[in-house]
Amino acid sequence: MSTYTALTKAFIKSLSMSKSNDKRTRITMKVIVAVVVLFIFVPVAIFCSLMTYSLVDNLSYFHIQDLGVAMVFHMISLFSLFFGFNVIFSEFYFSSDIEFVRPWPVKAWELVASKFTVSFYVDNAMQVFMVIASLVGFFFAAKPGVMSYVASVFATITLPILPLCYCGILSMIVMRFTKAIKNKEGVQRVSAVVLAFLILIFVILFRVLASNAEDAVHFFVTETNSPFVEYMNKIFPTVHFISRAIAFGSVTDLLIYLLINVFAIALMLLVAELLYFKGFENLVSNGKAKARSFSALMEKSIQTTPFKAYFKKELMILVRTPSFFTNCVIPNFIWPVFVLIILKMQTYDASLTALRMYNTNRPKIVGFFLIVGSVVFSLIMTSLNSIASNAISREGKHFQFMKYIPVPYDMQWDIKVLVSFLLTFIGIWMYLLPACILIHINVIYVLVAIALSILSITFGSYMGVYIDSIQPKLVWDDELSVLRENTNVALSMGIALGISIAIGAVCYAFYAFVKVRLLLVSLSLFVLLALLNLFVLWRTAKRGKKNIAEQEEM
Amino acid sequence: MLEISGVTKTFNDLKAVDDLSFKVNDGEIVGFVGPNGAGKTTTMKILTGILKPDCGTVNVNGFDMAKSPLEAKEIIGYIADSPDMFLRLKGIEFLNFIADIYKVPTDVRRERIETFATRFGLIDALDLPMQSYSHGMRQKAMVAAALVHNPPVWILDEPLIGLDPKSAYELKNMMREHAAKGNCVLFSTHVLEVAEKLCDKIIIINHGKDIFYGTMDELSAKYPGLDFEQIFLEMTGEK
Repeated sequence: MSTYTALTKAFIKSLSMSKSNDKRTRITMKVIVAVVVLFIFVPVAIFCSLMTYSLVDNLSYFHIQDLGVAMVFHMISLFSLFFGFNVIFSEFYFSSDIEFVRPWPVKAWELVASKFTVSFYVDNAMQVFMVIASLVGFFFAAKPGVMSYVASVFATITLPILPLCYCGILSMIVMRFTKAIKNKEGVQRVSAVVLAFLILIFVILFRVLASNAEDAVHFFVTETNSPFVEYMNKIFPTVHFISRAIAFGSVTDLLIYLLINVFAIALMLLVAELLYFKGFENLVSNGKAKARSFSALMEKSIQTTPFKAYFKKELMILVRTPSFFTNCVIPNFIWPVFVLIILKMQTYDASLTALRMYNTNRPKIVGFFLIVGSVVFSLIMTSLNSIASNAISREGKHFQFMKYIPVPYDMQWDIKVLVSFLLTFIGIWMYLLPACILIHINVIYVLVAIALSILSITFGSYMGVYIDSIQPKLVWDDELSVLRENTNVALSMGIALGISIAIGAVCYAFYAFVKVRLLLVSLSLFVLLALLNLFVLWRTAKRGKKNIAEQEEM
Repeated sequence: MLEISGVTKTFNDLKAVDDLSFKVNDGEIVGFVGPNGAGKTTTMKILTGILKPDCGTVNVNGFDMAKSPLEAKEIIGYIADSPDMFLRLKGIEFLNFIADIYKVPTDVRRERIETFATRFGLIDALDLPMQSYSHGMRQKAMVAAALVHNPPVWILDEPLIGLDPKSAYELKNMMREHAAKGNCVLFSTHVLEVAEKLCDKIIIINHGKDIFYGTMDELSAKYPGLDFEQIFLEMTGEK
């Protein structure tokens, strides 16, 4: 077995979540996975398929159907680039196995090739799924020949290679020539800055485009070309060739596509030989802050209750761990940026004056959207921040601590739920409440929305912790992997999304078509959420504690 | 007093602990030795309530771990096999957190933290995140945290690993002082010399079964002319 194969096998094995020995747990997990596939993967697949279908169908009149595929593939490549940055940095320089492997007689290119494969494996699941879904849309719209199918297979497997090669080369250059990133926290900080920068660019782009709808359309597609695709082709040249190979069945384009990928990998491995090991020279342990005097520390050492102490510990770990902070805490407080982007993309007037006017003219419609929206948004936000759905997994190697301290499991469970509840609730209502006041929404509607939001977040939080307790991911390499490789986070999100879609659709249908009164809609939501809460509390009481007590993977 | 009776624990058809019984009386230091994979850590996890045995009972100062787990856990001081715990917290935050969990009053905790910090040379490190600590410093923080509530029963899983000579010396002295006050200490170690010098009794375990439980004198009488190392290798079949 070659060094590369042996290393890759070992790295990938250390990523996997263990399977439970308990038959009931295995069946439960299968059911939940099915729910996730139904409510996350299927909607994403349908969206990608329909988007590609629509683009290709329209563009094929002008014989530029490859642009439709290219647009979707560029989006997927951007997705790989953004999310790959963190993964590649962590895998190349900060995974805990690196310090064991470095002293071995392993060449830099072998180690980088192996780590790259692991990153590709970790980062690729969703992208592969999106590529397949887009291709299905394309095949329905274009009905191509055999060669297109062959090219599609290559696209499915290899599309994210180039974006990830960019991340790999960039990481090695940054580590070798700058002192910007000295530890794992540095990666998180840089990732957060890059993400904020990208959001800013998107906001500006959409503002500019929104100012002239005709220009906006022409930016994405004209009758012969697409400036957007033209720009993006310079960044991801592979997309241009694979799109043509799929759209027109061109063997030459497919070969060029493969050659570019091979070249990108070869270049990355060459850079690895030159820079990779030298990049470790800038790594240092955490700097030492100025310490307070011992007497000052003693003055601050004051007894508090176990509940408060445990709560504080949970908060400190969430806030001080960069991966948890950026993925679990920050989203609760930056969601208005995304709402702003969406509002800017709309053609209707979404100014405060217009919203006030709309509220004056149609207060019940606004009340309906506030009440149902707060339920749905609260549930989605609770699962999206994953504070609850990785609450047990977050304990990792020190999960056993939960079991040997004299604090009842119920209390520990409730504290984890409380942390999820508070961060989500504060994050949502610190913006929504002032917005309601500014728009002059009826106080009763606001109070009902807050009450339902409380029930919704409580349910989402208890459900998240419960799902994570069934089979927590306790063995993880770094904090980022407990979020990205933990299927419980996706499971919880799938269930929340499913329930949200059902609630939103049913409420809208009843209100808009059956003309059920808002009072009845609100009461029905109260009953439904109360029942959901009772159900999850019953499951928690029946199995939750046992799940922790019986968990033996440590 | 710490007593384990007829405890068995199986993982995937492998008996990690097999019908194990022993008792650590008040005033005793008992060393727990055995080869890697013999079942020492599993036994200690059962004693602290981390793992549930398939059968058998654990009794801590009169509290049954299965029936009164919280009462039993309150009087145990446990040092786990890995000191990499809550590394995002500062040393002082970690000690205060554990003191809060075990409801240690303010004045008492201040005195104890000062004692441990002085004896283990932790004073200058207390205001730093434990992530910046060396392995040995983390182990010292774990020892201080495990003992901050002055538990009568100490269960220490390889507590001397990573400690510098002074801290190891201090900890061994603390074990003696603790036992002399009528409390009990059970600790696992691979350093036979430490077990031989420090312990009142020795438990030797192999493949989950206790193959010897008694004093060093009783052990030496069974194997005349052999030192402890030779006896251990002989008994565990590793010679």
